Amino acid sequence: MSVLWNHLIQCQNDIIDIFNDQAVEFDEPGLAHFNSDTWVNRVWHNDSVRRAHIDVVDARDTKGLWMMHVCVFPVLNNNGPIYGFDVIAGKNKMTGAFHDFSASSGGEDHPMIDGYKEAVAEFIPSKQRQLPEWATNIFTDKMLAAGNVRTEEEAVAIIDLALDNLRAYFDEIGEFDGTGDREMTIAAQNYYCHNQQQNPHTPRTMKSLGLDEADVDKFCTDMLFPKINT
Amino acid sequence: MSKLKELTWEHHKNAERQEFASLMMSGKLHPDLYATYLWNQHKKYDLLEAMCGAHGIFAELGQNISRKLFIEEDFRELWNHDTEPKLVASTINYLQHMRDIMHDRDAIMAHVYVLYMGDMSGGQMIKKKIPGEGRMYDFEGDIPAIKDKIRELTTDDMADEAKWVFDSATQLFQQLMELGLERTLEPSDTVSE
Repeated sequence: MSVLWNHLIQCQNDIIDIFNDQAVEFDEPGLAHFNSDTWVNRVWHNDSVRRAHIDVVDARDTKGLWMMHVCVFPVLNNNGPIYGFDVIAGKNKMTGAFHDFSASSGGEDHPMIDGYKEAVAEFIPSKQRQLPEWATNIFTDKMLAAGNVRTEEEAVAIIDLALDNLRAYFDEIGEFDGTGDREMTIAAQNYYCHNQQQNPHTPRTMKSLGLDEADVDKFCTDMLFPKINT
Repeated sequence: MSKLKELTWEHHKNAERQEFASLMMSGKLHPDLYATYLWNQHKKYDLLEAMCGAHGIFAELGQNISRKLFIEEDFRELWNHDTEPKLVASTINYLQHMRDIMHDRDAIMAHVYVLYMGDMSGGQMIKKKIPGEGRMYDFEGDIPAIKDKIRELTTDDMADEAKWVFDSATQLFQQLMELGLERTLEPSDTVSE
């Protein structure tokens, strides 16, 4: 087995524990289709969070890769940011880890984003990597984007940071209930989803993990970053 | 009634004068070039329609005139390459611009005015000339009545944003022609006898 994968699977379990502690799991129409022995998709909600989603593709046996996507959207009267954490890892290294509190209707000056920026400050290299347009449209300038993480120490630090920030997110998000204008929040969350859907690596990576191509295309549009239709 | 048509006339005409616009009306437009246009339009409409939903604009129109699924169908009918077409700079700029105006309902309405009025007006002629079925130009319901409703929801104050949308279309037309794709289905004029 792999030490890194063990840490990541523990991280997955910790995230599910946080979601279970803080929210209620629900059946989202259509999501059952995207669950199998090697593909997990579960969603939770509470009074302040409309959708907390964890998506794990376990292709360790077939492709030597493990991938997790976590995204939390506030309810529509809450102007708080969107929590995101994505990681893909081979046996001995994280090939990519991405984490951000992205602006919703509260903008990039939201207090929760300020707190996030303080928390990640020491992880952000002075020379940031160049991001594509769809990413710069939505991510903060302090988005954590790590590639080729080879040491256990660094991988654990990233995992701990993402978990600490998720706990902080659930602790704080309720304070902003009632602060968001519904129309503005839908617009902002749809803008986030639209830009995420432009990421060509997401479907490419999922297909490379052996998932059915048609399933991946539908999943990326309808389940991973679903826009709100009013 | 707003004077938006008069206020934006020059920008509207400038878009129509572009070579790509003429090609669309020529009946000879190459399917790959048209599909590339559709792909770029799909990105814009997909986002715009999400913003229309957020601001309840289609509900106010009394009709969902969403185009994105039709544009996607038209694109899939024509595009048979493995890789997706290129997004040109004006499309990327449009997506970024939407970030600045997404909370401004009037600005979003200006986009609805330019794009959907175009699809329901000149688009009805374009439909007969372009490759494929042209589903994106098929609207359910009474087109003149929908256009009247859109006009009712516009004001002169939207002129600057509407001009921006026309100029964005002009840039899209120009940048599509710079991609180096085959332009027409006929042999090039430069080929000697």
